[in-house]
Amino acid sequence: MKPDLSATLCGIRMKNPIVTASGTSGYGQELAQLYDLKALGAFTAKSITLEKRAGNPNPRIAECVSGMLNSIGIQSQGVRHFIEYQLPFLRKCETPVIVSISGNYVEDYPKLAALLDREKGIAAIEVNISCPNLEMGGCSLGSDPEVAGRIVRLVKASTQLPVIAKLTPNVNDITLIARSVEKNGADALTLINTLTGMAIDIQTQRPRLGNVVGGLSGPAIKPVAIRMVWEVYRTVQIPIIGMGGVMNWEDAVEFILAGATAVGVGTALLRNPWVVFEIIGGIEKYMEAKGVMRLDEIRGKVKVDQRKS
Amino acid sequence: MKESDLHRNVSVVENRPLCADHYLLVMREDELARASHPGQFINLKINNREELLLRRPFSIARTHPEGSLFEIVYRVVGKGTAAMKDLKPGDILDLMGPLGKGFHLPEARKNCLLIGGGVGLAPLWGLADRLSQNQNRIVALLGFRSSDVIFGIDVFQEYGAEIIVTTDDGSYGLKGFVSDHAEKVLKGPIDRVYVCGPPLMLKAVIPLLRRAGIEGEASVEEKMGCGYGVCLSCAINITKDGVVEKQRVCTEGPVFDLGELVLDDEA
Repeated sequence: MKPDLSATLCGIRMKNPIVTASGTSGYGQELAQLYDLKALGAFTAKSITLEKRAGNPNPRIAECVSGMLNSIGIQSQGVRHFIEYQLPFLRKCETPVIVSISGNYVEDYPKLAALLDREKGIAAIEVNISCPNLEMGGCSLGSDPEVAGRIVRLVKASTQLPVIAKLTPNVNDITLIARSVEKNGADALTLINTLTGMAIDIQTQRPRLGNVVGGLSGPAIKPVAIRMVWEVYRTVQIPIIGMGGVMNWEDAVEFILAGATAVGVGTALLRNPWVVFEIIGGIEKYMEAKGVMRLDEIRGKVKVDQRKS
Repeated sequence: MKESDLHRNVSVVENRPLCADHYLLVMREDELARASHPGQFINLKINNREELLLRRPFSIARTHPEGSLFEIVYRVVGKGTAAMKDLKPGDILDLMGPLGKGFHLPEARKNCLLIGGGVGLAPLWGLADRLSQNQNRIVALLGFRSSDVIFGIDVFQEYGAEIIVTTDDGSYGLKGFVSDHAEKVLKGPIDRVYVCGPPLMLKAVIPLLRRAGIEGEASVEEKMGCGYGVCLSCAINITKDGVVEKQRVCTEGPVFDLGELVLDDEA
């Protein structure tokens, strides 16, 4: 018998645990030109905002050793444009669609959720309270347990859709934020967003990003992400989409062992958009080799000696 | 499009220095050699260097469809291009391409001015090839920093171009930037202009071309993440119907109409 790779996350039935990370595959059209999005467990759209946003000045990306900094700054056409021009395409993709929302202010989030609530073809709303590239909003909202909880509560009151909170790693104790959003009704968590970072060109002696600072992603942040998924998994009851530097199937299995129900792939898609097939195939082979029939047999099952946990 | 259309393994045929820091890399892949258009680019993964996370974009310089060959020119500027110096014939490379939108070709028998700066003149080789096939007259205004980084003039000669060379330090050809010598060239009959070079060159030369009222296109460079349109790292300001909007260098570009480009001092 073949192993079962399916996963269920706050009511979303996914044929495998692999989800695109928001902001790394736009609104699906470019990726769909390369392959059928049906192959994915779920697709997460780039964060949308209430109004159109131009994003940050260039350069917006800087490669670092085993990672990259980005400071795109949520370039967005706005929610109405998304509903009219981008959502119809995503509806036809036959894969669950998670829509990420981003606000400058607390009140933006319930407004966005209410507008999306009327639309068909959305599996869940991901509340991005963790973008490090915004002057207002972003991770400044998500690093305060009280504010993060309030946003989730307001969003829950504005929509029937499942609500996923995306958490920032730029905090002292991520479990405090996780607990607060769970208490306020979050149906699931996504973690981690990028770590705030900076790089300097020593020849020009200028920052390598137009925005000076940006968000670090890629393999460099994976150990931080694994640690945080493990900590949060032991703290909350709601499921976790684990992400941060997933480049191959081994990384994905590591996140599942740390407690992730689904695994996000982001930066790796920039390097190789087809990597998701290798990851899905690799997880299946691993399960076969280990005699594992279902993912929940290994989820959170990292073997830690009692006295060290 | 299927995976096979954009994701390719190509073999290295030749990798040799052209001048200080500049190398010619010739690769074999039939479809890319036949189907790519001047001004399009490839996005290359650096072999066996997983810590170099992102692919490196390079304009396609020339294609030789009869031999299934295509060329890029790279300048060694960082770890990725330094690693490329070691590529040997027979090495297999993983790339995505052809990507982006290339130059629009004029009707036959037009007067075309090609302005290239440094490594940026490479995609103008392939353009000159196509222009010469359509009996266009080609004037090439080529700028280099100094005589030790001059390359590729012979290729424009191959296509019958009239050539003007400038160096910043005057060590070869005319002294100064291409923008210092463009106005003289523009006094002659020119129907269309194509520009590719560093950002400072574009900023200096495009206002002159606009003032002369000559239509044309420029290939621009910007730091890229993905090369296929998903990450928005390379978005720049473009004027469309009088409205400034963000467009992606990798997808809507890298070639843009001269009239659409927003030069920094105008923004």
